[in-house]
Amino acid sequence: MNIRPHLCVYVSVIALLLFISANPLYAITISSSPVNPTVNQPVTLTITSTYTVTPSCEILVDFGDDSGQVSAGTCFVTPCVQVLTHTYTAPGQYTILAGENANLCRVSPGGPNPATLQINAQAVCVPMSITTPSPLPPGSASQPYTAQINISGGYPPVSFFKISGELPPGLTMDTSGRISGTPLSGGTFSFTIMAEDACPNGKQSAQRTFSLYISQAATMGVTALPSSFTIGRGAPTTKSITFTISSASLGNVQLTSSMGLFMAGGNVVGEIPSPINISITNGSGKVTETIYIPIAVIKRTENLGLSKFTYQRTFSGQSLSATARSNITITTDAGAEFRISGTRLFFENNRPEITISSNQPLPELYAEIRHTGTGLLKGYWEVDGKIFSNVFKTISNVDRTIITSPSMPSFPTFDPGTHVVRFIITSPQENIDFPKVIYFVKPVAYTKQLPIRLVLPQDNASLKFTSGEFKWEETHSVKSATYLIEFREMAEEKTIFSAYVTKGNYRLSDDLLGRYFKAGENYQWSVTGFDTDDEIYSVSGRFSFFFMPRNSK
Amino acid sequence: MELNLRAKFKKAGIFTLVTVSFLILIVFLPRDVRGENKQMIKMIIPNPGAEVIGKKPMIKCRVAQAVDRETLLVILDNTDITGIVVFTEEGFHVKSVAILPSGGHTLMISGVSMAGERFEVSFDFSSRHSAQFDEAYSNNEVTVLYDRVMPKSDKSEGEPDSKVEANLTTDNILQTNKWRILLNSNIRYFDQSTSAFPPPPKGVEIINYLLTAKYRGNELDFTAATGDLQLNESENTVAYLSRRGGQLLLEHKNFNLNSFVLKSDQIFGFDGDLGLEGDLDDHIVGVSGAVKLFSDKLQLKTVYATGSEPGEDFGSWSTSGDKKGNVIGFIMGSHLLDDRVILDAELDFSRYDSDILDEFGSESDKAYRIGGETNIGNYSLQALYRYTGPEYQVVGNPSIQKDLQGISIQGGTTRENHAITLSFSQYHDNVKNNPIYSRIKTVAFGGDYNFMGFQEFPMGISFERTSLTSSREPEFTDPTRTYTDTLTGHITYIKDRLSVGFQAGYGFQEDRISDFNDTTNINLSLSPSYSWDRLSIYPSFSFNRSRAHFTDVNTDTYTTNMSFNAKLIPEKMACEFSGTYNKTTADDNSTDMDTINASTRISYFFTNKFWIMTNPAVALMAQYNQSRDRLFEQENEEFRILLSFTNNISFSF
Repeated sequence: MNIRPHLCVYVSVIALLLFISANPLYAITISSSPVNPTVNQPVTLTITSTYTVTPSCEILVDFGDDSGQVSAGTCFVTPCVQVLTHTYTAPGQYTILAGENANLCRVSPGGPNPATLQINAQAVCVPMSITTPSPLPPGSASQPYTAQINISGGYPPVSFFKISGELPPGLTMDTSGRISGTPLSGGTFSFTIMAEDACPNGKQSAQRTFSLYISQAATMGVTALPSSFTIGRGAPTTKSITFTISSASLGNVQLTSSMGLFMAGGNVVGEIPSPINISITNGSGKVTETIYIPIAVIKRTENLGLSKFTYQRTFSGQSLSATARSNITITTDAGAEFRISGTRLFFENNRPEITISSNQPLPELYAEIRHTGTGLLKGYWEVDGKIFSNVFKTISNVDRTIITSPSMPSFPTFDPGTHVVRFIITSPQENIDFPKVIYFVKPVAYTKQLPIRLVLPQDNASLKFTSGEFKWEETHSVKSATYLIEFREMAEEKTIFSAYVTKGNYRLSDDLLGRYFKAGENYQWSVTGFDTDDEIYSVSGRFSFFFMPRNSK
Repeated sequence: MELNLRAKFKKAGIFTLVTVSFLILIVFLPRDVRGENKQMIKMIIPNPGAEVIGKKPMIKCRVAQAVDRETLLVILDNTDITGIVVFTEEGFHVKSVAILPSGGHTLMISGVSMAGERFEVSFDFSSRHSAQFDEAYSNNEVTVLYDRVMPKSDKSEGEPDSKVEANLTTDNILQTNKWRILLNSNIRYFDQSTSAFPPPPKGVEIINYLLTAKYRGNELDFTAATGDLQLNESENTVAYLSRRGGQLLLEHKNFNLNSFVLKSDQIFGFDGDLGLEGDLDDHIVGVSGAVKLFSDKLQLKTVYATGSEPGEDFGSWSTSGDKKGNVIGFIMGSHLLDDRVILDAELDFSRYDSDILDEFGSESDKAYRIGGETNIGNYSLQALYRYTGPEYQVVGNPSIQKDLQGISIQGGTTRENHAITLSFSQYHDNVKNNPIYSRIKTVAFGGDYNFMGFQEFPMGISFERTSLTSSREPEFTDPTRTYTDTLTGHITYIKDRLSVGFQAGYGFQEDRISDFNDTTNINLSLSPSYSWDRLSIYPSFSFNRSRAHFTDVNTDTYTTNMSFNAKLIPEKMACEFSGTYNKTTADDNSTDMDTINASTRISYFFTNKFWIMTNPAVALMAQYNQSRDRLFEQENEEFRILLSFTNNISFSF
């Protein structure tokens, strides 16, 4: 009889279990991982809700802190599992509530609804240390500076304080550990910084002594040479200007000037848009620029009522910049510095080329030099790239000077072919593209005309207006076969009278005097000798004479 | 009324006197000037009035009576040819030494017959050079040069191993009754083993040419020319402008009109065009008209020119860029008192844009000058006053000095053994009183004296002092006080074939405001020469010392040149040499360098003709160059030997 009640119990339990497995409990459960979270680290919450039928129900969660309710989502299946994370920022006991949103829940889960879970958020304070090494990166006086002190570990918020020493004047540190500002002076500075966190278990701190080197103020000096000069107003000018940069605080760097400016009375009157670079080695460097001052810059300055302007360039790099200026004064051409504004080479034919025969004396070559100011001109004649003769001339006149090629000896003409001549000016030094002229020597023997020496009357003689004899002689061994004596009026090329003779003299008779000459006039005479083939063989120079008036004694 | 009668009687008296005098002259005229003299001497070749064809025509005269040869005077076109007359039994004949220009000629013969009769006759004839043309000839000369560098020569960068240059020079004239056409040119071929840096370029190039056609009409003459021209209109307009282009000159009686178009650039070679094409951006165009009045004693002229010019071209360099402008000038010239006084005046107006690329346009300005010159006996005097505005500039005439006003005077006299010239000038700038500038006055005076008393020792000395002083200086402007003295002297010894010249020069410039510019310059040179038929030698030695007072540094330069030409075997072999030694030192050790350049050529001329080579020659040439910079311890040395073949062919027709 006792067996029946036991069987009944067993059957009942089995039936209950079967019921339970076939019809689970309708409820909301909350679990957390970890069970007790760490402050400031996320905790994962799992919300499980079960329903009797297919649900449509939004579950709301309240983490128990001040973050308010959040939706865990809407359940459309049963059981419905929802996962959320949350971070508690303060330690303490928190009651998590999870329940249906009555307004958005068609089928309610089973109770408890809302379900609750008690958790205990715990604070964990990692040991803290300052990781920024000492010394801090160096800085320069007058240059902006920033540095950040970093830590590892600690419990935020972490605050930084200077507890000893001095920051460089001009620099400050905020509580985040950021040092910033513009150092006012250079030097090596030492200071101790302490970092302190907010660990709930008790504040932690760390400290480190830093050194910081602030270099002296980085200064850069730029000079322009010449610092001043004058130019003539009449022509454009080229001028070489040397910029020199020196700085104790600069090492090996390259500085750049993007453009040069012509400034007059604060106005830009011209620019040279070419950038130039200057390489600084061990704190110094120089660069030379040949500037071209166009006539327009002079006119713009004149239009401002000024006669002075500057040429300036600003060099920058390494957060530094400096400007160099060269002062320029415009004067009339006579008052300007001795400078070349143009050169022109030409032969007697007024052209820069000539053709001659071998061994023919080269006709005179002229170098026309246009200049401002006066001074000592130095230069040399160059034939085929080789120095032939030097020229030193004290230029005292204004504007233009003619230099004549050397005559004794003149440029060599025995080598046939093309020869190039230049006149090279070495002082004043200018950036001149020296022009050249060409003389071409034909390989044809130049028939050198031998000299005839005029004997009587002597040059510049004053003669009575009566018949008289003209004499000449040849010093070479073979004499001319025929001579032509020619008479010209002064400064005239046209012959007024001539005579052929076979001897070295000619008598001007009274009859001829009356026909072709006048008393009281100046004349010139010359003699040309011809060989037996009637070719010109010898020539004389020209002598002058004056026929005195008839009544003079 | 009485007065009128007196006047009539007076006129009648004069008329009667002249008539009687004329009759007396006819009756008692010596026989020598009467017609029968022509019977005594007859020109038989050519016949009087005939036209003869030839360049040097023979003239023959027959003399009917015996003539005193000592008194005979034969003049052909103002040339006494008595000295080359050849006497024959029947008379004499003569042939011109020089080519007789085509056209009309007059032969005048005078003298005294053995009978004591004085005579004078003249004959006219004309000549032309050929049947078709009055004058026609073409002279041509082709030259060829081939240079080859020989082994053992130093290799120098850029120097070619071989080079060929050929040149044709042609000179042509054709003349008819009214036309005269001239053409001359140089055409050249150039090639070498390395690239050429023109000019000259490789290939064939017309180096220069000038084609001229002249027409001489009864009323109108004109000249048309194209090629390399040189124009000279006036000092302040177009002056000695030498360019490629064209010109047309018309002349009618005492009027002439000249027009021209020229390339702006001075060019080498043909460069593609005649200089006539294009526009004012690359040309200079002009016209001038002139009239001569009062028997050519007064000339009035007007010139207009316009166009552009480059900043630099072949043969020139300047700081300026491209420019354009125009000018009009009015010129007057007169010769007074039998040419004893010459007056010259000019007034010009220009518009000129000194840089066509900037925002400033052309500026107008004017210039004028008036000058006079007189030569009386042994004395001469020249004076000139001129004004040139600060903006007065002219295309193609860079020689004008602008911004100038003042006067210059020069006078001189020449005696038997002495010649002296004195000069003075005073000019100032800033002629428009621009208040932002000073005014600078330039005063120069000097003298030049030559003594010829010793024929073997001609000598001379000259001196000049120039001062530049400023006034009206604006605030913060330094004054100018610069004084320059130059003194030069020369003496030469001449004896037969020997000549020794010595020259010395001294220049001192003092800037009394700043001693930075003070300099002293001394030049000494000795130039002996010896010239003989078979040997010419020209050495020269020069020394220069320049002293910069501010730095107290002397710079010395020594230059020695040597040039000689020796005919080792006349007509066969010649040797030529040219060399320069140059040394420059400074006593602050900033300069110490010297150079030696020498070249010599030994030529052998073949007298035999080979094929078409009519004048072949072979030459061996050596070149030596050395440069040494003792300061930087640098030395360059090169030696080259070249073999050279040359030939030239001349042909005329």
